Amino acid sequence: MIADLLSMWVRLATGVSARAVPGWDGRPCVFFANHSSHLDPLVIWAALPAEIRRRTSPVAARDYWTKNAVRRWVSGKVFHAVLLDRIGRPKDRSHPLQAVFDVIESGRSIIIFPEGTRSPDARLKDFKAGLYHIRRRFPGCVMIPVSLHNLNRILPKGRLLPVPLIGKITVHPPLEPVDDESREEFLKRARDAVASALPEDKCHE
Amino acid sequence: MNREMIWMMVAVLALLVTASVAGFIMSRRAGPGARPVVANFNARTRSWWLMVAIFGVTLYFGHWTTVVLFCMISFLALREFITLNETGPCDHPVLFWCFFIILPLQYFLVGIHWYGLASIFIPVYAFIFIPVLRVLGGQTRDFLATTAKIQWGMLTCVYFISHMPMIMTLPIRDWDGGNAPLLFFLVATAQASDVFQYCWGKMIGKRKIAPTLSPNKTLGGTVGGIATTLVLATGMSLATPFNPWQAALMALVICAAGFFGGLVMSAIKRDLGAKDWGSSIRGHGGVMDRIDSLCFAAPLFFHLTGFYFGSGVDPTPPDWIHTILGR
Repeated sequence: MIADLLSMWVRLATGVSARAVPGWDGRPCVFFANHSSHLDPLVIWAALPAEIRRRTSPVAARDYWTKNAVRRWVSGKVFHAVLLDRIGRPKDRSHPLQAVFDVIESGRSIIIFPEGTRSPDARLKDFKAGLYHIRRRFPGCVMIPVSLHNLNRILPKGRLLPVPLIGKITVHPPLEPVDDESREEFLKRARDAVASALPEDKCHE
Repeated sequence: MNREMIWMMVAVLALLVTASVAGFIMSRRAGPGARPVVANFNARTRSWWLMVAIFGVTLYFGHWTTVVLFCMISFLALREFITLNETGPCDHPVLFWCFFIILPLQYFLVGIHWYGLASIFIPVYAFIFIPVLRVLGGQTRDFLATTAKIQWGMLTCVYFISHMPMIMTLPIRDWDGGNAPLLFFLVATAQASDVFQYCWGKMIGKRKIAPTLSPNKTLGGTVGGIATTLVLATGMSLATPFNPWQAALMALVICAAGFFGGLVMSAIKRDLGAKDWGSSIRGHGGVMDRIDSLCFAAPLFFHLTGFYFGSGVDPTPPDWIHTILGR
């Protein structure tokens, strides 16, 4: 209920909405997107059709989303975010993405940002290997590239308050599975899919 | 609200009912080739119902509701304008000020009838404040271009549009019919001109006037549309302080300003590589696509009405100028 209201408000405030997700068949998905604003996880989550949204957890930065009571409540109770530490390795030497693996194992979809951090000028950075590890571990899950536009203008890195510009989301068809693909090949293919809907000057670092 | 005004509202409703019925019949009979045109016509009609309802209710409740309505329209138009115009991350503070402080303040000034400040607030104070704030950000790349874009957005989307609720505060000589009919006259004339130009253009339009800017504008459509609007305006004069020929002249100014306002906004849009300003009103495009013809018409109509029919709003010029301009 609160989740539906919040997602409606986010769709209204940012103008971002995805009517349908091509190729979605109920299996867990990995939505991966370009990252330029703290709003990105919230916006993709809110833009997804309700039946997918209820089973999707965004991966978000722990320090930002646990800073105050409101953010803690939203990330924990409303959109069930998977919070990751951005600095340092886990103390128990487990895989840094273990929390993400657990969520996918439980049958939920996730939203992840393979650039690893927000790009200050919205140019697409190189993808980190995390996406490839998820791919290796869960060959059955659907990899869906997502491109976000204008979000860095709505809430740029380092700013507190958003301005009401109109954002846009492009949800691409899932990546086709390719056998014996190297890490570099896979990451390049994933990055090209996200870049395909971005303006030319945002595709290179 | 005077009696003639109520009759005009009834006429608008009758027109909408006719359009809806015609659209329904056409959708039943249309062949596969005509279907997209009919679907667009029906989407436009449905949106018209909503817009007329909002505008009607607003006018009925009077001054403050009009201020709030046009404040929201300005907000949505500015949002579309700034979204299409690339600005950098360092412009974030100035945009925040534009949307959340300058814009509401302008409408607040209109709301409290402070005409003296409302009529210069944006062109003087905001236009000085915007480059100052940007300079503090320290960015020099495309400085003038980006500053000018933000200022132009504030001018057209906020300052010009705020003249519409300002009409509600204009004191008119020897007139007790209220100011709502004046605002209705402006909006109805500008929108009727758009609709009639669209209809005549679809029926008899052949020669394109501005093929690169606005491919739908044809000579037949424009002349037919404006002529029909002038006839309509003489009819609407009954509810206004204008006599029929004054109303026709005012309507001519509104149509001309609307025509060129539309072309100018269209040129900006093409330059930015977009077909529509947005997609918030079904069948029409964005809010800006619907009000582009009012941007230039609103301040012109406001000042012409103030000059010829108002009492003591504008400072008075010397007598010999009065003689030349025929007041």
